[in-house]
Amino acid sequence: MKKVVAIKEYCVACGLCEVYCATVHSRYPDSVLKAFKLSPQKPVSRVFLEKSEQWSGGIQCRHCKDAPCIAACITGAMYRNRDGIVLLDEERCVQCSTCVIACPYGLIKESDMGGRKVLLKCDLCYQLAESPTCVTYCPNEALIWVEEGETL
Amino acid sequence: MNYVIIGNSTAAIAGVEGIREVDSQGEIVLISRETHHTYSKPLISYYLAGKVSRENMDYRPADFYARNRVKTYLGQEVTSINPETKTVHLEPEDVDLSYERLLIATGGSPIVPPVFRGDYLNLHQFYCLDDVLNLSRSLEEERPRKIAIIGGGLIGLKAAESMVLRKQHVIVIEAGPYLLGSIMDREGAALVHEHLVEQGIEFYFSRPVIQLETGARGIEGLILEDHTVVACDMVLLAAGVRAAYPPTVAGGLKTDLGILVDNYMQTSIPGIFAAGDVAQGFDMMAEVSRPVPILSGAYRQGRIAGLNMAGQKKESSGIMAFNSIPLLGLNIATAGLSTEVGDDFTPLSKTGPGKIYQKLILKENRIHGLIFVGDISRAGMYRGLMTKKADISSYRQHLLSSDFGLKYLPEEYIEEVL
Ligand SMILES: Cc1cc2nc3c(=O)[nH]c(=O)nc-3n(C[C@H](O)[C@H](O)[C@H](O)COP(=O)(O)OP(=O)(O)OC[C@H]3O[C@@H](n4cnc5c(N)ncnc54)[C@H](O)[C@@H]3O)c2cc1C
Repeated sequence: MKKVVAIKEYCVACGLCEVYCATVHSRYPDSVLKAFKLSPQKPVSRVFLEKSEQWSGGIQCRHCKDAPCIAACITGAMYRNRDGIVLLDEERCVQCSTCVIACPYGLIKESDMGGRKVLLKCDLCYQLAESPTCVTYCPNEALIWVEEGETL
Repeated sequence: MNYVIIGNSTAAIAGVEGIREVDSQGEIVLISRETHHTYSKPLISYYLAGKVSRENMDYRPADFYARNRVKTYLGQEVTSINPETKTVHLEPEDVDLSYERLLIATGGSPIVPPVFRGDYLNLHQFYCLDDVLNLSRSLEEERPRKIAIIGGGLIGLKAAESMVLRKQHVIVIEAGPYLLGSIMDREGAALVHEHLVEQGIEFYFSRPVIQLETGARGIEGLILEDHTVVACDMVLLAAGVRAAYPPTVAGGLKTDLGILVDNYMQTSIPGIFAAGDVAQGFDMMAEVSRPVPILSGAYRQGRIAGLNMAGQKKESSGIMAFNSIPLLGLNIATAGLSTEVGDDFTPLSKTGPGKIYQKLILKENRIHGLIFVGDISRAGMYRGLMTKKADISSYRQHLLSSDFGLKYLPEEYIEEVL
Protein backbone atom coordinates (compact mmCIF):
# COMPACT_ATOMS: atom_id res chain seq x y z
CA MET A 1 0.00 0.00 0.00
CA LYS A 2 1.18 3.51 -0.82
CA LYS A 3 1.84 5.87 2.07
CA VAL A 4 2.87 9.46 2.47
CA VAL A 5 6.44 9.80 3.70
CA ALA A 6 7.98 13.04 4.92
CA ILE A 7 11.59 13.82 4.11
CA LYS A 8 12.69 16.08 6.89
CA GLU A 9 15.85 17.16 5.09
CA TYR A 10 13.79 18.72 2.27
CA CYS A 11 11.02 20.23 4.35
CA VAL A 12 11.26 23.97 4.89
CA ALA A 13 8.26 24.13 7.21
CA CYS A 14 6.27 26.31 4.81
CA GLY A 15 3.04 24.76 6.07
CA LEU A 16 1.43 24.42 2.64
CA CYS A 17 0.63 20.78 3.40
CA GLU A 18 -1.61 21.96 6.22
CA VAL A 19 -3.17 24.71 4.11
CA TYR A 20 -4.06 22.40 1.22
CA CYS A 21 -5.18 19.56 3.45
CA ALA A 22 -7.53 21.89 5.28
CA THR A 23 -8.78 23.26 1.98
CA VAL A 24 -9.44 19.96 0.26
CA HIS A 25 -11.42 18.80 3.29
CA SER A 26 -13.44 22.02 3.45
CA ARG A 27 -16.64 23.06 1.76
CA TYR A 28 -14.56 24.71 -0.98
CA PRO A 29 -12.02 22.04 -1.89
CA ASP A 30 -10.83 23.85 -5.02
CA SER A 31 -10.00 27.21 -3.60
CA VAL A 32 -7.75 28.06 -0.69
CA LEU A 33 -9.09 31.60 -0.61
CA LYS A 34 -12.71 30.56 -0.53
CA ALA A 35 -12.02 27.80 1.96
CA PHE A 36 -10.48 30.16 4.44
CA LYS A 37 -12.63 33.20 3.74
CA LEU A 38 -16.06 31.69 3.24
CA SER A 39 -16.13 28.53 5.38
CA PRO A 40 -18.31 28.97 8.46
CA GLN A 41 -15.52 27.42 10.55
CA LYS A 42 -11.84 27.72 9.94
CA PRO A 43 -10.82 24.70 7.87
CA VAL A 44 -8.76 22.18 9.79
CA SER A 45 -5.83 20.18 8.53
CA ARG A 46 -5.34 16.48 9.13
CA VAL A 47 -1.63 16.66 8.45
CA PHE A 48 0.50 18.31 11.10
CA LEU A 49 3.68 20.18 10.56
CA GLU A 50 6.10 19.13 13.26
CA LYS A 51 9.26 21.10 13.67
CA SER A 52 12.25 21.43 15.90
CA GLU A 53 15.33 23.56 15.50
CA GLN A 54 16.96 20.83 13.43
CA TRP A 55 14.21 19.46 11.27
CA SER A 56 10.60 19.64 10.17
CA GLY A 57 8.08 17.46 8.41
CA GLY A 58 4.40 17.06 7.75
CA ILE A 59 3.06 14.02 9.57
CA GLN A 60 -0.24 12.22 9.33
CA CYS A 61 -1.94 8.91 10.06
CA ARG A 62 0.36 5.96 9.29
CA HIS A 63 -2.56 3.70 8.36
CA CYS A 64 -0.98 1.09 10.63
CA LYS A 65 -1.29 -2.57 9.73
CA ASP A 66 -2.49 -3.59 13.17
CA ALA A 67 -4.26 -0.29 13.75
CA PRO A 68 -4.88 0.47 17.44
CA CYS A 69 -7.60 2.98 16.53
CA ILE A 70 -9.65 0.33 14.73
CA ALA A 71 -9.33 -2.09 17.64
CA ALA A 72 -10.34 0.63 20.09
CA CYS A 73 -13.22 2.22 18.18
CA ILE A 74 -16.31 1.56 20.26
CA THR A 75 -18.74 1.94 17.38
CA GLY A 76 -16.99 0.28 14.47
CA ALA A 77 -16.84 3.68 12.75
CA MET A 78 -13.07 3.39 12.32
CA TYR A 79 -12.45 0.89 9.58
CA ARG A 80 -10.04 -0.11 6.86
CA ASN A 81 -11.20 0.12 3.27
CA ARG A 82 -10.28 -2.33 0.54
CA ASP A 83 -7.15 -0.41 -0.31
CA GLY A 84 -5.87 -0.61 3.25
CA ILE A 85 -6.70 3.00 4.11
CA VAL A 86 -7.89 3.58 7.68
CA LEU A 87 -11.00 5.72 7.51
CA LEU A 88 -13.46 7.17 9.97
CA ASP A 89 -17.13 7.01 9.11
CA GLU A 90 -18.24 10.33 10.55
CA GLU A 91 -21.89 9.27 10.40
CA ARG A 92 -21.27 6.52 12.90
CA CYS A 93 -18.73 8.26 15.10
CA VAL A 94 -20.04 9.30 18.53
CA GLN A 95 -16.98 11.41 19.39
CA CYS A 96 -15.93 9.27 22.34
CA SER A 97 -12.30 10.08 21.43
CA THR A 98 -11.05 6.60 22.25
CA CYS A 99 -9.10 6.76 18.97
CA VAL A 100 -7.34 9.90 20.24
CA ILE A 101 -5.77 7.98 23.09
CA ALA A 102 -5.38 4.82 21.00
CA CYS A 103 -3.20 6.46 18.33
CA PRO A 104 0.39 6.07 19.50
CA TYR A 105 1.48 9.03 17.40
CA GLY A 106 -1.29 11.39 18.47
CA LEU A 107 -2.45 11.85 14.88
CA ILE A 108 -6.21 11.83 15.40
CA LYS A 109 -7.49 15.17 16.57
CA GLU A 110 -10.65 16.53 17.99
CA SER A 111 -11.95 19.62 16.34
CA ASP A 112 -14.77 21.98 17.12
CA MET A 113 -17.06 22.54 14.14
CA GLY A 114 -19.20 25.34 15.45
CA GLY A 115 -20.12 23.69 18.72
CA ARG A 116 -20.12 20.21 17.25
CA LYS A 117 -17.16 18.05 18.14
CA VAL A 118 -15.68 16.01 15.30
CA LEU A 119 -12.69 13.72 15.04
CA LEU A 120 -10.39 14.19 12.14
CA LYS A 121 -7.74 12.03 10.60
CA CYS A 122 -5.91 11.69 7.30
CA ASP A 123 -7.92 9.82 4.66
CA LEU A 124 -5.08 9.87 2.11
CA CYS A 125 -7.49 11.84 -0.08
CA TYR A 126 -8.83 8.47 -1.20
CA GLN A 127 -11.62 10.08 -3.17
CA LEU A 128 -9.21 11.86 -5.47
CA ALA A 129 -7.70 10.17 -8.47
CA GLU A 130 -4.29 11.75 -7.99
CA SER A 131 -1.85 11.67 -5.08
CA PRO A 132 -2.88 12.98 -1.67
CA THR A 133 -3.26 16.75 -1.67
CA CYS A 134 -0.43 17.39 0.80
CA VAL A 135 1.92 15.56 -1.57
CA THR A 136 0.62 17.28 -4.67
CA TYR A 137 1.12 20.75 -3.23
CA CYS A 138 4.37 20.24 -1.35
CA PRO A 139 6.63 22.64 -3.27
CA ASN A 140 9.89 20.83 -2.65
CA GLU A 141 8.85 17.21 -2.68
CA ALA A 142 9.35 16.85 1.04
CA LEU A 143 6.20 14.77 1.10
CA ILE A 144 6.21 11.82 -1.23
CA TRP A 145 3.68 9.10 -1.95
CA VAL A 146 5.41 5.75 -2.15
CA GLU A 147 4.91 2.05 -1.69
CA GLU A 148 5.62 0.99 1.86
CA GLY A 149 9.23 0.17 2.55
CA GLU A 150 10.39 2.24 -0.38
CA THR A 151 11.83 5.65 0.48
CA LEU A 152 13.28 7.88 -2.16
CA MET B 1 -11.62 -26.99 10.11
CA ASN B 2 -14.88 -26.11 11.83
CA TYR B 3 -15.21 -23.35 14.37
CA VAL B 4 -17.80 -22.54 16.99
CA ILE B 5 -17.87 -19.12 18.61
CA ILE B 6 -19.96 -18.39 21.70
CA GLY B 7 -20.82 -14.70 21.79
CA ASN B 8 -21.74 -12.03 19.28
CA SER B 9 -19.97 -8.96 20.53
CA THR B 10 -16.52 -7.45 20.09
CA ALA B 11 -14.38 -10.49 20.93
CA ALA B 12 -16.57 -12.86 18.91
CA ILE B 13 -16.64 -10.59 15.85
CA ALA B 14 -12.88 -10.07 16.02
CA GLY B 15 -12.61 -13.86 16.25
CA VAL B 16 -14.53 -14.23 13.00
CA GLU B 17 -12.32 -11.61 11.37
CA GLY B 18 -9.17 -13.33 12.63
CA ILE B 19 -10.28 -16.73 11.34
CA ARG B 20 -11.24 -15.33 7.95
CA GLU B 21 -7.84 -13.65 7.56
CA VAL B 22 -6.37 -17.14 7.44
CA ASP B 23 -9.12 -19.59 6.52
CA SER B 24 -11.72 -18.59 3.98
CA GLN B 25 -13.26 -22.07 3.78
CA GLY B 26 -13.81 -23.43 7.28
CA GLU B 27 -17.31 -23.47 8.68
CA ILE B 28 -17.99 -20.84 11.35
CA VAL B 29 -20.94 -21.13 13.70
CA LEU B 30 -21.71 -18.25 16.04
CA ILE B 31 -24.07 -18.57 18.98
CA SER B 32 -25.48 -15.78 21.11
CA ARG B 33 -27.98 -15.54 23.88
CA GLU B 34 -29.00 -12.12 22.66
CA THR B 35 -31.19 -12.00 19.57
CA HIS B 36 -29.74 -8.81 18.09
CA HIS B 37 -27.36 -8.36 15.20
CA THR B 38 -23.90 -7.63 16.61
CA TYR B 39 -24.02 -4.26 18.33
CA SER B 40 -21.64 -2.13 20.32
CA LYS B 41 -22.24 -2.36 24.04
CA PRO B 42 -20.68 1.00 24.95
CA LEU B 43 -23.30 2.65 22.74
CA ILE B 44 -26.22 1.78 24.98
CA SER B 45 -25.89 5.04 26.89
CA TYR B 46 -25.62 7.01 23.65
CA TYR B 47 -28.74 5.29 22.37
CA LEU B 48 -30.65 6.16 25.52
CA ALA B 49 -29.54 9.76 25.22
CA GLY B 50 -30.80 9.83 21.64
CA LYS B 51 -27.29 10.39 20.28
CA VAL B 52 -27.20 7.27 18.20
CA SER B 53 -29.89 5.51 16.22
CA ARG B 54 -30.65 1.83 16.68
CA GLU B 55 -29.13 1.05 13.23
CA ASN B 56 -25.95 2.90 14.06
CA MET B 57 -25.44 0.70 17.11
CA ASP B 58 -24.50 -2.18 14.83
CA TYR B 59 -20.86 -3.06 15.37
CA ARG B 60 -20.57 -4.42 11.84
CA PRO B 61 -22.68 -3.92 8.69
CA ALA B 62 -25.86 -5.94 8.23
CA ASP B 63 -24.20 -8.30 5.72
CA PHE B 64 -21.35 -9.17 8.08
CA TYR B 65 -22.40 -12.77 8.72
CA ALA B 66 -23.23 -13.41 5.07
CA ARG B 67 -20.03 -11.91 3.81
CA ASN B 68 -17.96 -13.95 6.25
CA ARG B 69 -20.11 -17.05 5.79
CA VAL B 70 -21.04 -17.33 9.44
CA LYS B 71 -23.97 -19.48 10.47
CA THR B 72 -25.69 -17.83 13.42
CA TYR B 73 -27.78 -19.16 16.26
CA LEU B 74 -29.14 -16.01 17.85
CA GLY B 75 -31.34 -16.18 20.91
CA GLN B 76 -29.67 -19.46 21.87
CA GLU B 77 -27.70 -20.01 25.02
CA VAL B 78 -24.83 -22.44 25.39
CA THR B 79 -25.60 -24.29 28.60
CA SER B 80 -22.72 -26.74 28.54
CA ILE B 81 -19.47 -27.49 26.80
CA ASN B 82 -18.20 -31.03 26.54
CA PRO B 83 -14.50 -31.13 25.64
CA GLU B 84 -14.59 -34.96 25.47
CA THR B 85 -17.11 -35.09 22.67
CA LYS B 86 -16.12 -31.60 21.46
CA THR B 87 -19.68 -30.39 21.52
CA VAL B 88 -21.65 -27.49 22.94
CA HIS B 89 -25.26 -27.77 24.02
CA LEU B 90 -27.78 -25.09 23.01
CA GLU B 91 -30.98 -24.10 24.75
CA PRO B 92 -33.86 -23.62 24.02
CA GLU B 93 -33.14 -25.31 20.69
CA ASP B 94 -31.88 -28.38 22.58
CA VAL B 95 -29.21 -29.38 20.09
CA ASP B 96 -25.54 -30.30 20.34
CA LEU B 97 -23.11 -28.71 17.93
CA SER B 98 -19.64 -30.09 17.27
CA TYR B 99 -16.52 -28.03 17.04
CA GLU B 100 -12.89 -28.57 16.22
CA ARG B 101 -11.96 -25.15 17.58
CA LEU B 102 -14.11 -23.31 20.12
CA LEU B 103 -13.96 -19.65 21.09
CA ILE B 104 -15.60 -18.60 24.35
CA ALA B 105 -16.37 -14.89 24.00
CA THR B 106 -19.20 -14.64 26.48
CA GLY B 107 -18.14 -11.35 28.02
CA GLY B 108 -19.24 -10.28 31.45
CA SER B 109 -22.33 -10.05 33.53
CA PRO B 110 -23.32 -7.24 35.87
CA ILE B 111 -22.84 -7.68 39.59
CA VAL B 112 -26.01 -7.42 41.64
CA PRO B 113 -25.23 -6.37 45.22
CA PRO B 114 -27.11 -8.66 47.66
CA VAL B 115 -29.38 -5.87 48.90
CA PHE B 116 -30.80 -5.51 45.37
CA ARG B 117 -31.50 -9.19 44.81
CA GLY B 118 -35.21 -9.41 44.35
CA ASP B 119 -37.91 -8.57 41.89
CA TYR B 120 -38.49 -4.84 41.83
CA LEU B 121 -40.46 -3.26 39.02
CA ASN B 122 -38.36 -0.13 38.89
CA LEU B 123 -34.94 -1.73 39.23
CA HIS B 124 -32.96 -1.84 35.99
CA GLN B 125 -29.64 -3.22 34.90
CA PHE B 126 -27.52 -0.99 32.71
CA TYR B 127 -25.46 -3.44 30.74
CA CYS B 128 -26.84 -4.63 27.42
CA LEU B 129 -29.17 -3.53 24.67
CA ASP B 130 -32.24 -5.26 26.06
CA ASP B 131 -31.64 -3.46 29.37
CA VAL B 132 -31.86 -0.05 27.72
CA LEU B 133 -34.74 -1.02 25.47
CA ASN B 134 -36.66 -1.96 28.63
CA LEU B 135 -35.44 1.09 30.45
CA SER B 136 -36.44 3.36 27.61
CA ARG B 137 -39.98 1.95 27.74
CA SER B 138 -40.16 2.31 31.51
CA LEU B 139 -38.98 5.90 31.35
CA GLU B 140 -41.78 6.70 28.98
CA GLU B 141 -44.45 4.77 30.81
CA GLU B 142 -43.54 5.51 34.40
CA ARG B 143 -42.17 9.02 34.03
CA PRO B 144 -39.93 8.78 37.09
CA ARG B 145 -38.68 12.01 38.60
CA LYS B 146 -35.68 10.87 40.58
CA ILE B 147 -33.35 8.22 39.27
CA ALA B 148 -30.78 6.67 41.55
CA ILE B 149 -27.74 5.10 39.96
CA ILE B 150 -25.84 2.56 42.01
CA GLY B 151 -22.15 2.91 41.19
CA GLY B 152 -20.00 5.86 40.21
CA GLY B 153 -17.72 3.92 37.89
CA LEU B 154 -17.45 4.21 34.13
CA ILE B 155 -20.77 2.53 33.38
CA GLY B 156 -22.63 4.34 36.19
CA LEU B 157 -21.44 7.72 34.99
CA LYS B 158 -22.27 6.95 31.37
CA ALA B 159 -25.74 5.99 32.59
CA ALA B 160 -25.91 9.23 34.59
CA GLU B 161 -24.93 11.24 31.54
CA SER B 162 -27.65 9.70 29.42
CA MET B 163 -30.25 10.36 32.11
CA VAL B 164 -29.19 14.00 32.44
CA LEU B 165 -29.47 14.36 28.67
CA ARG B 166 -33.00 13.00 29.02
CA LYS B 167 -33.68 15.73 31.56
CA GLN B 168 -33.96 13.39 34.49
CA HIS B 169 -32.96 14.20 38.03
CA VAL B 170 -30.02 11.93 38.79
CA ILE B 171 -28.53 10.75 42.07
CA VAL B 172 -25.36 8.67 42.02
CA ILE B 173 -24.56 6.45 45.00
CA GLU B 174 -20.92 5.44 45.17
CA ALA B 175 -19.74 3.14 47.93
CA GLY B 176 -16.12 4.29 47.56
CA PRO B 177 -14.72 7.69 48.50
CA TYR B 178 -14.62 9.11 44.97
CA LEU B 179 -15.75 8.59 41.37
CA LEU B 180 -14.16 6.28 38.80
CA GLY B 181 -12.05 4.67 41.50
CA SER B 182 -10.76 1.90 39.24
CA ILE B 183 -9.12 4.29 36.79
CA MET B 184 -8.86 7.69 38.46
CA ASP B 185 -7.05 9.31 41.38
CA ARG B 186 -8.67 11.57 43.94
CA GLU B 187 -7.58 14.79 42.28
CA GLY B 188 -8.86 13.90 38.82
CA ALA B 189 -12.05 12.50 40.30
CA ALA B 190 -12.65 15.78 42.13
CA LEU B 191 -12.67 17.65 38.81
CA VAL B 192 -15.08 15.15 37.29
CA HIS B 193 -17.26 15.42 40.37
CA GLU B 194 -17.28 19.22 40.23
CA HIS B 195 -18.24 19.12 36.56
CA LEU B 196 -21.07 16.65 37.09
CA VAL B 197 -22.44 18.57 40.08
CA GLU B 198 -22.60 21.63 37.83
CA GLN B 199 -24.72 19.54 35.47
CA GLY B 200 -27.17 18.91 38.27
CA ILE B 201 -26.15 15.41 39.38
CA GLU B 202 -26.36 14.68 43.12
CA PHE B 203 -23.80 12.39 44.75
CA TYR B 204 -23.44 10.28 47.86
CA PHE B 205 -20.02 8.81 48.62
CA SER B 206 -18.47 6.30 50.99
CA ARG B 207 -21.80 4.84 52.06
CA PRO B 208 -23.14 1.71 50.47
CA VAL B 209 -26.86 1.03 50.32
CA ILE B 210 -27.73 -1.31 53.19
CA GLN B 211 -31.51 -1.51 52.90
CA LEU B 212 -34.38 -0.64 50.61
CA GLU B 213 -37.64 1.13 51.26
CA THR B 214 -40.23 -0.48 49.07
CA GLY B 215 -43.78 0.34 48.07
CA ALA B 216 -46.27 -0.03 45.26
CA ARG B 217 -43.85 1.22 42.62
CA GLY B 218 -41.02 -1.02 43.76
CA ILE B 219 -38.00 0.66 45.33
CA GLU B 220 -38.94 4.06 46.75
CA GLY B 221 -35.98 4.81 48.94
CA LEU B 222 -32.41 3.71 49.52
CA ILE B 223 -31.11 3.52 53.06
CA LEU B 224 -27.40 4.17 53.21
CA GLU B 225 -24.97 2.89 55.79
CA ASP B 226 -25.21 6.08 57.86
CA HIS B 227 -29.04 5.79 57.75
CA THR B 228 -29.45 8.60 55.24
CA VAL B 229 -32.56 7.87 53.20
CA VAL B 230 -32.41 8.73 49.51
CA ALA B 231 -35.82 8.89 47.89
CA CYS B 232 -36.05 7.71 44.29
CA ASP B 233 -38.55 6.50 41.68
CA MET B 234 -36.24 4.29 39.72
CA VAL B 235 -32.92 2.54 40.32
CA LEU B 236 -30.24 1.71 37.76
CA LEU B 237 -27.60 -0.80 38.74
CA ALA B 238 -24.04 -0.18 37.64
CA ALA B 239 -22.19 -1.84 40.46
CA GLY B 240 -19.52 -3.56 38.44
CA VAL B 241 -19.07 -6.45 36.07
CA ARG B 242 -17.54 -9.87 36.39
CA ALA B 243 -16.54 -12.42 33.79
CA ALA B 244 -19.61 -14.35 32.66
CA TYR B 245 -18.34 -17.79 33.42
CA PRO B 246 -19.46 -20.13 30.81
CA PRO B 247 -21.93 -22.77 31.70
CA THR B 248 -20.84 -26.18 32.90
CA VAL B 249 -17.72 -27.37 31.26
CA ALA B 250 -17.10 -31.06 31.69
CA GLY B 251 -13.44 -31.48 32.51
CA GLY B 252 -13.17 -27.97 33.84
CA LEU B 253 -11.45 -24.89 32.53
CA LYS B 254 -8.78 -23.20 34.59
CA THR B 255 -10.15 -19.90 35.85
CA ASP B 256 -9.23 -17.14 38.24
CA LEU B 257 -11.12 -13.86 37.81
CA GLY B 258 -11.74 -14.94 34.24
CA ILE B 259 -10.93 -17.92 32.06
CA LEU B 260 -7.14 -18.18 32.07
CA VAL B 261 -5.58 -17.86 28.63
CA ASP B 262 -2.01 -17.87 27.38
CA ASN B 263 -0.61 -15.37 24.87
CA TYR B 264 -2.32 -17.29 22.06
CA MET B 265 -5.69 -17.03 23.83
CA GLN B 266 -5.60 -20.78 24.34
CA THR B 267 -7.31 -21.98 27.52
CA SER B 268 -6.23 -24.91 29.67
CA ILE B 269 -8.18 -27.24 27.36
CA PRO B 270 -6.63 -27.79 23.92
CA GLY B 271 -8.82 -26.53 21.09
CA ILE B 272 -10.74 -24.16 23.36
CA PHE B 273 -9.87 -20.47 23.21
CA ALA B 274 -11.26 -17.52 25.15
CA ALA B 275 -11.15 -13.77 24.54
CA GLY B 276 -12.62 -10.51 25.76
CA ASP B 277 -14.21 -9.68 29.09
CA VAL B 278 -14.56 -13.37 29.94
CA ALA B 279 -10.85 -14.05 29.57
CA GLN B 280 -7.98 -13.32 31.88
CA GLY B 281 -4.85 -12.73 29.86
CA PHE B 282 -1.65 -10.77 30.19
CA ASP B 283 -1.87 -7.12 31.22
CA MET B 284 1.19 -5.57 29.59
CA MET B 285 1.44 -2.68 32.03
CA ALA B 286 0.85 -4.56 35.28
CA GLU B 287 2.90 -7.44 33.83
CA VAL B 288 0.60 -9.99 35.40
CA SER B 289 -2.35 -12.04 34.25
CA ARG B 290 -5.52 -10.14 35.06
CA PRO B 291 -8.77 -9.20 33.38
CA VAL B 292 -8.76 -5.97 31.38
CA PRO B 293 -12.43 -5.60 30.50
CA ILE B 294 -12.33 -3.03 27.73
CA LEU B 295 -13.48 -3.08 24.15
CA SER B 296 -10.07 -2.73 22.50
CA GLY B 297 -8.77 -5.59 24.63
CA ALA B 298 -11.71 -7.74 23.54
CA TYR B 299 -11.01 -6.91 19.92
CA ARG B 300 -7.30 -7.65 20.11
CA GLN B 301 -7.73 -10.88 22.01
CA GLY B 302 -10.56 -11.98 19.74
CA ARG B 303 -8.53 -11.45 16.60
CA ILE B 304 -5.51 -13.24 18.02
CA ALA B 305 -7.73 -16.12 19.10
CA GLY B 306 -9.17 -16.29 15.57
CA LEU B 307 -5.76 -16.32 13.90
CA ASN B 308 -4.47 -19.07 16.17
CA MET B 309 -7.64 -21.12 15.87
CA ALA B 310 -7.17 -21.05 12.11
CA GLY B 311 -3.59 -22.21 12.46
CA GLN B 312 -1.58 -19.03 12.18
CA LYS B 313 0.65 -18.79 15.24
CA LYS B 314 0.31 -15.26 16.50
CA GLU B 315 1.40 -14.23 19.95
CA SER B 316 -0.12 -11.39 21.93
CA SER B 317 2.20 -9.08 23.82
CA GLY B 318 -0.62 -8.46 26.25
CA ILE B 319 -3.17 -5.70 26.42
CA MET B 320 -3.22 -2.31 28.06
CA ALA B 321 -6.16 -0.89 29.92
CA PHE B 322 -7.17 2.46 28.45
CA ASN B 323 -10.32 4.46 28.13
CA SER B 324 -11.63 7.72 26.85
CA ILE B 325 -14.95 8.79 28.28
CA PRO B 326 -16.37 12.19 27.59
CA LEU B 327 -18.90 12.99 30.33
CA LEU B 328 -21.30 15.83 29.57
CA GLY B 329 -18.61 17.70 27.70
CA LEU B 330 -15.65 16.91 29.92
CA ASN B 331 -13.00 14.70 28.33
CA ILE B 332 -11.42 12.02 30.46
CA ALA B 333 -8.75 9.59 29.33
CA THR B 334 -6.75 7.10 31.36
CA ALA B 335 -4.28 4.37 30.51
CA GLY B 336 -2.19 1.71 32.18
CA LEU B 337 -1.53 1.83 35.90
CA SER B 338 -3.41 5.08 36.28
CA THR B 339 -4.24 4.62 39.95
CA GLU B 340 -0.81 3.36 41.01
CA VAL B 341 0.58 5.17 44.08
CA GLY B 342 3.24 2.70 45.27
CA ASP B 343 6.59 3.93 46.59
CA ASP B 344 8.50 3.14 43.39
CA PHE B 345 6.14 5.29 41.35
CA THR B 346 6.64 9.00 40.84
CA PRO B 347 3.70 11.08 39.74
CA LEU B 348 4.24 13.99 37.40
CA SER B 349 1.24 16.24 37.13
CA LYS B 350 -0.09 19.53 35.93
CA THR B 351 -3.36 21.27 36.71
CA GLY B 352 -5.36 24.02 35.10
CA PRO B 353 -6.28 26.26 33.54
CA GLY B 354 -9.90 25.44 34.25
CA LYS B 355 -10.86 21.81 34.47
CA ILE B 356 -7.58 20.48 33.19
CA TYR B 357 -5.57 17.84 34.98
CA GLN B 358 -2.81 15.77 33.45
CA LYS B 359 -0.79 13.18 35.27
CA LEU B 360 1.82 10.66 34.25
CA ILE B 361 2.89 7.87 36.54
CA LEU B 362 6.59 7.22 36.14
CA LYS B 363 8.83 4.43 37.35
CA GLU B 364 12.38 3.59 36.34
CA ASN B 365 12.38 6.06 33.44
CA ARG B 366 9.22 4.72 31.93
CA ILE B 367 5.63 5.93 31.83
CA HIS B 368 3.42 3.32 33.46
CA GLY B 369 0.11 5.11 33.55
CA LEU B 370 -1.68 8.33 32.76
CA ILE B 371 -4.74 10.34 33.70
CA PHE B 372 -5.85 13.21 31.48
CA VAL B 373 -8.91 15.30 32.30
CA GLY B 374 -10.11 18.24 30.23
CA ASP B 375 -7.46 18.23 27.53
CA ILE B 376 -6.68 14.76 26.19
CA SER B 377 -5.26 15.80 22.83
CA ARG B 378 -1.77 14.47 23.53
CA ALA B 379 -2.75 11.42 25.53
CA GLY B 380 -2.16 9.12 22.55
CA MET B 381 1.47 10.03 22.21
CA TYR B 382 2.13 9.29 25.88
CA ARG B 383 0.27 6.03 25.59
CA GLY B 384 2.41 5.22 22.56
CA LEU B 385 5.52 5.69 24.71
CA MET B 386 3.98 3.38 27.32
CA THR B 387 3.36 0.67 24.72
CA LYS B 388 6.94 0.92 23.54
CA LYS B 389 8.26 0.85 27.11
CA ALA B 390 10.26 3.88 25.99
CA ASP B 391 13.07 5.19 28.18
CA ILE B 392 12.06 8.78 28.84
CA SER B 393 15.22 9.92 30.62
CA SER B 394 16.49 12.10 27.76
CA TYR B 395 13.28 14.14 27.55
CA ARG B 396 11.85 13.75 31.02
CA GLN B 397 11.96 17.50 31.69
CA HIS B 398 9.72 18.15 28.68
CA LEU B 399 6.98 15.71 29.61
CA LEU B 400 3.61 17.45 29.99
CA SER B 401 5.05 20.72 28.64
CA SER B 402 2.58 22.39 26.32
CA ASP B 403 4.86 21.89 23.30
CA PHE B 404 5.70 18.26 24.05
CA GLY B 405 5.88 16.40 20.78
CA LEU B 406 7.92 14.49 18.30
CA LYS B 407 10.76 17.00 18.42
CA TYR B 408 11.78 15.83 21.87
CA LEU B 409 11.74 12.16 21.00
CA PRO B 410 14.66 10.04 19.88
CA GLU B 411 15.53 9.73 16.20
CA GLU B 412 14.16 6.23 15.72
CA TYR B 413 10.77 7.34 16.98
CA ILE B 414 10.73 10.30 14.61
CA GLU B 415 11.69 8.07 11.67
CA GLU B 416 8.79 5.78 12.47
CA VAL B 417 6.27 8.57 12.19
CA LEU B 418 7.64 10.43 9.18
C1 LIG C 1 -22.45 1.06 29.28
C2 LIG C 1 -21.12 0.51 28.90
C3 LIG C 1 -20.14 1.39 28.43
C4 LIG C 1 -18.88 0.92 28.08
N1 LIG C 1 -17.97 1.82 27.59
C5 LIG C 1 -16.76 1.38 27.20
C6 LIG C 1 -15.82 2.29 26.63
O1 LIG C 1 -16.07 3.48 26.48
N2 LIG C 1 -14.62 1.80 26.25
C7 LIG C 1 -14.30 0.48 26.39
O2 LIG C 1 -13.20 0.09 26.02
N3 LIG C 1 -15.17 -0.40 26.92
C8 LIG C 1 -16.40 0.02 27.32
N4 LIG C 1 -17.29 -0.88 27.85
C9 LIG C 1 -16.88 -2.29 27.99
C10 LIG C 1 -17.06 -3.06 26.68
O3 LIG C 1 -18.39 -2.97 26.30
C11 LIG C 1 -16.65 -4.51 26.87
O4 LIG C 1 -15.30 -4.56 27.23
C12 LIG C 1 -16.87 -5.32 25.61
O5 LIG C 1 -18.21 -5.30 25.22
C13 LIG C 1 -16.40 -6.76 25.80
O6 LIG C 1 -16.72 -7.52 24.68
P1 LIG C 1 -16.88 -9.08 24.74
O7 LIG C 1 -17.07 -9.51 23.33
O8 LIG C 1 -15.78 -9.68 25.51
O9 LIG C 1 -18.20 -9.37 25.60
P2 LIG C 1 -19.66 -8.80 25.63
O10 LIG C 1 -19.75 -7.51 24.92
O11 LIG C 1 -20.09 -8.84 27.04
O12 LIG C 1 -20.50 -9.86 24.80
C14 LIG C 1 -20.75 -11.15 25.24
C15 LIG C 1 -21.56 -11.90 24.21
O13 LIG C 1 -21.73 -13.25 24.60
C16 LIG C 1 -23.10 -13.64 24.56
N5 LIG C 1 -23.26 -14.68 25.58
C17 LIG C 1 -22.91 -14.62 26.90
N6 LIG C 1 -23.12 -15.81 27.50
C18 LIG C 1 -23.60 -16.64 26.56
C19 LIG C 1 -24.00 -18.02 26.56
N7 LIG C 1 -23.92 -18.77 27.63
N8 LIG C 1 -24.46 -18.54 25.39
C20 LIG C 1 -24.55 -17.79 24.27
N9 LIG C 1 -24.17 -16.51 24.22
C21 LIG C 1 -23.70 -15.94 25.35
C22 LIG C 1 -23.84 -12.34 24.78
O14 LIG C 1 -25.15 -12.42 24.26
C23 LIG C 1 -22.96 -11.36 24.00
O15 LIG C 1 -23.24 -11.41 22.62
C24 LIG C 1 -18.57 -0.45 28.22
C25 LIG C 1 -19.53 -1.33 28.70
C26 LIG C 1 -20.80 -0.87 29.04
C27 LIG C 1 -21.82 -1.84 29.53
